[in-house]
Amino acid sequence: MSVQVHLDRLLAERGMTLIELSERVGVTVVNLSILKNGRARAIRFSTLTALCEVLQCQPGDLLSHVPERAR
Amino acid sequence: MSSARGNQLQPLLGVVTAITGLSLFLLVGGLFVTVLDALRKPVCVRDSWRETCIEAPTGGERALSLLLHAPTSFVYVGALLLLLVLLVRAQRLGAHNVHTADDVRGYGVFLLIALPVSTFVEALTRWLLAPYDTWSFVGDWDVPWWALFTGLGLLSVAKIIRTGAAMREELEGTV
Repeated sequence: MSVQVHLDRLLAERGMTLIELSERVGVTVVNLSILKNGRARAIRFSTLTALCEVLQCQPGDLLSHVPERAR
Repeated sequence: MSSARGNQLQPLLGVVTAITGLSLFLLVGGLFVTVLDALRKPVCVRDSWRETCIEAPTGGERALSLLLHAPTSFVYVGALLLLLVLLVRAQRLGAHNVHTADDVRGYGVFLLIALPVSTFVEALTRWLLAPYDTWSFVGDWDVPWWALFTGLGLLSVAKIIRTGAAMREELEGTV
């Protein structure tokens, strides 16, 4: 996957655990783990909005595109 | 989840299991009777035009007479067994699965090839035992059109299942 998710970095910067984020966003820990570990194939706008609201960030802070050759 | 999958395939799975068991029993019994008949009775052939009996058949003719009905019987029981395997695997893995799509495709190919070939072998056997005309076995060949159409239909169903499986994977990976 050439889109990387920086959820672990954002969580560390805000001193928040995955369980706490899960409770505040309303997404299961399992799904957040899938997202954090880069195993998600798609993300809903609603999930992205909720994550950005809780983490006080922009979608660009959460996701970045890495060209395949650069990996 | 697995119980829901199981319910999806019922009552078909139960019916196929029962019919397959019964068919296997009848196949073994039928084979026994056929072999006994082939050894004792005169060989009688009924094609599209007439019925011919060979009163004193040779060993080869007796052996050939086993191919008058056996191929189609074996293919029918084989088709039931394959269907049972397909359904059991679909119950275990889920209906919208790439493996299930492969199984359905394989079953379609089996129906497309096996049954027409078996009926052709039977027609050819009738012709070898009692030839009516040079190419009369072609006219006597009872082409199982239902198997051809069902086989082609199953190939399309397999493609639909494969598309569904890809959509399911996409959906499961959506957060």
